[in-house]
Amino acid sequence: MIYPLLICLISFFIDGISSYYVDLSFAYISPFTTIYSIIAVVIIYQFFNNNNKYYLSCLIIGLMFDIVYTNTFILNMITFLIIGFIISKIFNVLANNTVNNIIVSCISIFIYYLFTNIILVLTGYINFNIELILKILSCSIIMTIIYSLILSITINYISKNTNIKLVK
Amino acid sequence: MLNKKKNKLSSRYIILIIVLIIVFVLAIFFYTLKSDRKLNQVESLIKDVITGTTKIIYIPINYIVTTINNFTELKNVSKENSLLKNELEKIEFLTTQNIELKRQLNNIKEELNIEYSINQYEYLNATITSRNIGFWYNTITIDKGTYNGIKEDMIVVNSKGLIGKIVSVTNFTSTVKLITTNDSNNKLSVIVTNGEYTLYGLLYNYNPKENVLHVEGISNTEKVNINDYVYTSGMGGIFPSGILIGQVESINTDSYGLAKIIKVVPSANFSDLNYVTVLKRKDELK
Repeated sequence: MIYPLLICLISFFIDGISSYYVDLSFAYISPFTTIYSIIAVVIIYQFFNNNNKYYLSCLIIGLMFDIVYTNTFILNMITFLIIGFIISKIFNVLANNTVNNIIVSCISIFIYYLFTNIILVLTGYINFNIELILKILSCSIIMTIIYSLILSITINYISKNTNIKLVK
Repeated sequence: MLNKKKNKLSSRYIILIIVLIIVFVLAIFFYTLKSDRKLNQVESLIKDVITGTTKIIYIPINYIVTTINNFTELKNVSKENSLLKNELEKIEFLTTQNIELKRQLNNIKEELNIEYSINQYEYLNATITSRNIGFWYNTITIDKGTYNGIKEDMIVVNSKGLIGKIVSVTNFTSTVKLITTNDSNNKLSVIVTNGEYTLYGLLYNYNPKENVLHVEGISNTEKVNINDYVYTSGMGGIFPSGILIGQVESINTDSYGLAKIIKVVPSANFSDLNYVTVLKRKDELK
């Protein structure tokens, strides 16, 4: 349990710290944008034997994200849960390796931005702007690939040298 | 036959339940996205602890980044120094003018028996701890909260102009909603002026593609010039008057031909925010 916890904590703090150095306003979107907590949710799936505990972890991470980084209450909690559900279904079909982790991370990031945008447009919080959506999606690819690659390689290295217990 | 009917009914019930759940969840989202939602104690505690921890982790990283930036900026020091000396002389003149204007204002207030004006405020500097995570929310978090006297609806500025207003506060942090938001609840009364005339309008929208704010409500018969300044008007009781928002970039007419739509370039650079100032109004300190 320590490894998924560490990955989630580190990714969560990187989200906060990176926002200070990565320019991210509506007018300028850095090409090194991503949501590190979402990538962590993808990577930690391999540590769970029990899908219910995995969903619970996604729920908690989403709730923390809501409280600390946004002004919403359960929007990110539900988004992370939906993403966790989709990840579990995808990994039932795909093998758990580095390339698939990268692909699933990209898919998860896209789902996050699209879903939250749809909800915020429906509630009148923001206006619908397809160009902005496409821009943020395209700008989030590079860092998503880099970070999921780093995490996958690190986890592979650790699992070869230590006996990692899965969460039951 | 009966089983088929039962299956049809149960699938209809399932669809109905799913629709009700979606409606219920959307209703919760509507509530939680309201600007005036107050954070409960648990949320405040979690936010304070994590933001505080982030600040501690941020110290060594900031030291390294600042050192690298200092080295790269060394070559421009001499040029910047001479520019700053010129600006300093102008500031001394403006300070003298400011003192005289304050003296005249105080005399007028005494004569008219006014205790305070909406323009009187105290400054509280704050550091931004996180910016716009999740992208759509258009908010920043600063490291000052109720412990420092911050309250909701206080105004946040930087040296260049208006940034936004405080929407939620914990003990040690506050969330600031930027003016570059398209939230329909965040319209702002402004004045457009070039010193000779003053026109009242409403800031209602932001265009991210052009990085301009839109101001409406100014009659088509009024004259507005490019590079006119746009300030807060002080109407509405939240934003004090006289805070610079930006300059007029272009002027168009609305589809009915009755009013102008003015595009305003914000004076503050929203993609490079590090330090801000919170304005605490004197009537809020009482």
